[in-house]
Amino acid sequence: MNNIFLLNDYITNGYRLEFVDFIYIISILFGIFTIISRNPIVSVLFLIGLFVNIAGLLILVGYDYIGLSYILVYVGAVSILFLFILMLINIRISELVSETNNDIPLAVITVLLFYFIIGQVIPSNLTDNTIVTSLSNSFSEVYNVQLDNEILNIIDLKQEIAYASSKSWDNSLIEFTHITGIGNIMYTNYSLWLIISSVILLVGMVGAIVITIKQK
Amino acid sequence: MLLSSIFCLLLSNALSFRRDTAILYSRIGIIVLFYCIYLAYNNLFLTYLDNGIGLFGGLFYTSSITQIFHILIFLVSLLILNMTGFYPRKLISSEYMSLHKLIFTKLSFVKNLTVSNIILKKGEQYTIIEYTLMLLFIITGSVLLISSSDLVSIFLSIELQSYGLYLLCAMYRNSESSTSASLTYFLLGGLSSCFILLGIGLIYANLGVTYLDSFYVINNLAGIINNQEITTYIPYCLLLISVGFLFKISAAPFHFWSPDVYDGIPTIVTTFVAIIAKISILTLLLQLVHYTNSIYITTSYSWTTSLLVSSLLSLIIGTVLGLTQFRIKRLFAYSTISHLGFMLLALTINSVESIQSFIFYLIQYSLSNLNAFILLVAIGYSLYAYNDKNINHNNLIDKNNSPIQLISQLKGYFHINSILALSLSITLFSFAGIPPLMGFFAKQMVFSAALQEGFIFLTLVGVLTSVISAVYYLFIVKTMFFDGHTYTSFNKLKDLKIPALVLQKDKVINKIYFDSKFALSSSLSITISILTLIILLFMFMPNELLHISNLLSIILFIPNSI
Repeated sequence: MNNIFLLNDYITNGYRLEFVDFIYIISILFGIFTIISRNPIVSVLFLIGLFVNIAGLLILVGYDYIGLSYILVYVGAVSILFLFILMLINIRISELVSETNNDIPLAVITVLLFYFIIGQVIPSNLTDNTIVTSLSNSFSEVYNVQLDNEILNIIDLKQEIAYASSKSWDNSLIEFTHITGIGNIMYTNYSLWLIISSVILLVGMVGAIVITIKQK
Repeated sequence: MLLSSIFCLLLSNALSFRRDTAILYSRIGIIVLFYCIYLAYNNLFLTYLDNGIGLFGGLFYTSSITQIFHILIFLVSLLILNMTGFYPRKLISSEYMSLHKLIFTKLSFVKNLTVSNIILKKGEQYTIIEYTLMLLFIITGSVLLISSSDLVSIFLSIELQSYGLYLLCAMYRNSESSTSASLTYFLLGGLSSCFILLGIGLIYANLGVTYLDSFYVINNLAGIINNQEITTYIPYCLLLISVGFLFKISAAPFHFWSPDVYDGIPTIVTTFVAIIAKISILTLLLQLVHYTNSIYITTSYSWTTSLLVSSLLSLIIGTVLGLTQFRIKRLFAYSTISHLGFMLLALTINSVESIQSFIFYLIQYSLSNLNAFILLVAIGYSLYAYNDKNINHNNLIDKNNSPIQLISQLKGYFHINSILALSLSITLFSFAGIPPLMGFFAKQMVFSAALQEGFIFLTLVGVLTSVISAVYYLFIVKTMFFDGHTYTSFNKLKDLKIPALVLQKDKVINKIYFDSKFALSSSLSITISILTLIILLFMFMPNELLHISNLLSIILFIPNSI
């Protein structure tokens, strides 16, 4: 009874892997649609969808903070800025028709090259989780592949799952989410950085006003 | 203190409706900087600060070196603010000179417009009320940069400093050239920030630390254990960071932006941009180089050799390209590059003597560069009463903000204002390293330190380039003294009588006339004379500066010796 299977946490982390595959497929679709669609506004809308999707994925995987900041920064600021600019410059859709089919082999080669190079450089435990391998895994039997490495039976796991995370009080000290963790550090040890970066933002604001204000 | 006064200034700037109160803000800035100098001097305990004390959980630190350079930065920017804090010209009347009259009576001019034209009340530098504010922001950034001891705080403070600098360049909005120069500066500065950030990221990825202290400890202890590969990448990361820094201080392979930027922005701003950023970044590099110099024991590659390459290139490019310049601010930019070569040489050798010479060189160079730029500004102001017959000189772009742009504009200046011409030539001689002046001693110290450590080739190059660079300094001196000038004084101003009423308790008691004897205002002339006398008379009392630099370098090497 004293066995605590942290392994269980490592594999699924509280969600079902199928959801992740689902998100992968949706985000790939969104990415393709972003490139394909002729209307720039629709394209930016797909981009926003892609960002939201990836933010959801990140939150699901456990990177709460990065996921939220994705939504905040990319969706909230950058994409809206894109939309604004696109609506302001008023491009007619008919002008944008151009033949891009010739570039498809180039795109494929670029992607493959990128994957090849990146796959060599980054550590192997990261490449296991890349989209392509996960996709290929999702078509095969994921559970068996994962568990064969760990020499454990799935039946054991199902029995012990209830005890995997205990509800005792000391967990609440350790189990920070990323946001609280980062906040705890940022507002205590590194609070000065926060102040300096706020001063930098202040300089930016003042400067923008100074450069553009109407002088009497 | 600096921050709180910045916020006060910000508030009052936001609330002020009149554009012509900018001069008062500059004076407030001067007072703030005096207070900061006092605080920095008060915290300068040479004996207690020997190892340096970490502040704010080790994000920043303070030691005697940082305090001294804080004072230097405050002093330099105080003198720069002095240029915008007072009107550049004054009227002199012998009738209105007695102390009694100055205190108890009040002058009231009848023709206000003429007077305000003469003392340049409507100059653009007196309508930008945010100038002081931005200056204080930049000073905050550079002060933080000098005393930062963490990679992230280095990046944050360098960004604070450089954003302020980009904005300061763009602040004179009516001049096209300054805006374009600011854009150039912004783009290239952003690029260099990318380099710095990449280096920092790589260091963090390889070692997992951002504290410079732990970084130094890891670097220096890794050599003890054999077969440790962890420091293999570190010199290259440091190289990337230093590429970013060299970009910002415009050392040689990355110098190409600086002549354009310096030439484009108004001379008053050039003074600040050219000096402050160099002081702070070079002081930071001093710390970085000193503590990471011994990595090459494990990696057989010392990143400081690349600094030597940069120094060599700076020396050569700064002198050779300077020979072909005919615009004076571009020439000053190239001379700055060649002086950076000397400073980088002294920095890289990293012995007690060379660090001493580095500190001394940095201090003297900032002061004499400051003097040169203030002189340019003052010469521009003093030519108000003269009409230039050369048509080329009257059609210069941006003439209002930087009146002196071409070297040929200085032709025969000795016959117009001999004192200013003498001061400028003394400063230029000091740049060139003519013996009794301050620049000579700095160069000599660098060379002797380099020779002692066996850098014979670089010393030879240094001597040769300083001889070559003397050519263009002497060319300016020649044009000033031996060429005939094309200036004629305005007839309208020559026999000008400015009526003025002397008031006492709102009663007119006297009426006097000012004739056309207006002179450079005493704020400018006092600054120039003090700096020139420091340069000229340094050899009579060299002890203060030399002792400061000597003490600082000894403290850096043997912390517990005092």
